Amino acid sequence: MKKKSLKKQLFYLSLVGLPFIQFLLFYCFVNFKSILFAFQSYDVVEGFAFNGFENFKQIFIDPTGKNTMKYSLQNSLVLYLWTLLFGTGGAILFSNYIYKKFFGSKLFQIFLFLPNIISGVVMVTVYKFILDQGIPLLWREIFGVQLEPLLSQKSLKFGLVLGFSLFMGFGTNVLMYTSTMSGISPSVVESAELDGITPFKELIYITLPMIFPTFVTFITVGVATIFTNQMSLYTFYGADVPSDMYTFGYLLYKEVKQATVIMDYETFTYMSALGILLTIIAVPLTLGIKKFLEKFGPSVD
Amino acid sequence: MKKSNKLSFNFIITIILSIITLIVMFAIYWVITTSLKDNSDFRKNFFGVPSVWMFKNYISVFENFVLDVTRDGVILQVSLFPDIIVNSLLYTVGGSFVFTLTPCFVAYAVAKFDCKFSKFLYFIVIVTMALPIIGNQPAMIDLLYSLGLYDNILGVWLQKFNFLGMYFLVFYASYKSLPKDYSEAAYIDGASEWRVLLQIMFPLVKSIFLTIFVLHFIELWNDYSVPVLYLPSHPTIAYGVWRMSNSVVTGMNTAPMKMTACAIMVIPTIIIFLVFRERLMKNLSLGGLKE
Repeated sequence: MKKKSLKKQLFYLSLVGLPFIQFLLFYCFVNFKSILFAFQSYDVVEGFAFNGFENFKQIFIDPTGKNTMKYSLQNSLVLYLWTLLFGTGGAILFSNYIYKKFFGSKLFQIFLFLPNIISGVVMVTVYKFILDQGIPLLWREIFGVQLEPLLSQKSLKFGLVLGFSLFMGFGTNVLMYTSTMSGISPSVVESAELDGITPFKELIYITLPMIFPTFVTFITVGVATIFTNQMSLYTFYGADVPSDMYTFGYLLYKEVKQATVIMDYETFTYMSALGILLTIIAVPLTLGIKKFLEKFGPSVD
Repeated sequence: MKKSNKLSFNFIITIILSIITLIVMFAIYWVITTSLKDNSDFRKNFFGVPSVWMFKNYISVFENFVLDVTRDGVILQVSLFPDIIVNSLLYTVGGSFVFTLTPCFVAYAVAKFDCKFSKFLYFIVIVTMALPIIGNQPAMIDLLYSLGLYDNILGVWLQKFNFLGMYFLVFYASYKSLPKDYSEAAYIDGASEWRVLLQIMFPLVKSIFLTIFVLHFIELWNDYSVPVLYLPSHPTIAYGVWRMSNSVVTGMNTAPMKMTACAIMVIPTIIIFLVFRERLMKNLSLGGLKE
């Protein structure tokens, strides 16, 4: 009996042991090290030294003088709200259309998901060619006027990149929402249809309340994207993005990428401080939004 | 009145979906036709079908697509075939396998063994999903560097060897929903724990395993940001195409060549999508329904 129990314990250990060690090393230790970095400075000669909140102060001082932090905050929030409103809203409307099997729903489902299958790199490359060469060419042929490449126009490029990121984001959301909607009991829908409910009312009063747990999960998990979403900027422009287009996701990625070339620990410590600061904002925000949605979300009754 | 409301609501959604569909169709058409033009044809004929179908562009990209990378302070040239393709397969297949198998096995242990440590592991998954940690890449790079695993495929596989995230919950829910009768009958017949897992339980979730593996495969095949950061001298195809699309100095810097590289990159994922379309389009849900 004891031998059997030992065998079970060994089996359990063999399944969870190594992944748990990986978790300790690659999650706990890495994040601990990240906190350490945030409170350290680095000098090539003297190495690391504790420097209190100096790295955090630097974030607010903006040593580059390009308002990088201000623009990052502004653009990250715009991107999040845009995605939340039109991305999530659109995904729910499209999912409902597909779930109700309206005209062409199977075809639309495939084409909504295809941008997730085709790499973002490919889609960006095509988008750049069309906007920078194709449309100016058409414009010249139709109106006889030469247009500047659209993605180089200051007034247009942020909006165009924002639109692209919305377009690319529907696939997985639609897949998940459609899958959840397909679990709604047909008898509930049938009885509402007998009462003459319109598709829009059915969406608002039946479908949305029923899929609300999925909605809450998406919104909750998505809060952190305020600070991690790059808006495909690195794919579009590499490291040459003007500071007024920065998002926090892009800033973190670009700075860390450039720092790895020479293992620039000074940048590492600064970026770690920024990461910690954003985490401190993201955690209560995530929990707060989750609680808010659970408290004030639609009731299935 | 009601009928007209119904029509207008659906009509607007149909129009929007049709526009999205046309844009995606056009993007695919444009990649394929541009990849089959020569550069002068492309300049004269931006949107149309090729005047001469240049299938040899594909051979040309396979033969001439090289990238300069710096490894251990030395500048090396890596070619599309075999270097970049091999790197892509190692990153994509290896990474997807590890990334799918780990939550699959840990979820089995947590679902089957109702002990405090299992509850703790489940708690870890929920907490790490709900509480995001941002900007820890410098510390991750430093750790990999210290372990001698930076710019090494093993380092990336180790990063993927984690059970955290949504798919743990998908596996966990699947194992929990399976009846215990099968495994109990096997235990009575003297089967070992491993045998029960591999020959009885795993086959019952293999459909979900395959779906998640395919989703990871597509994600990793298309991903250039992780290889750029963690495998700078081992470019994958996404990394290569990204470098090519932003480059102005290579000899391959023409739209038809760039689109040929894009097409080569897209073909495997499109094939996989067509084969597994039905599987991908259903059976994955997150969060569930209200009772």
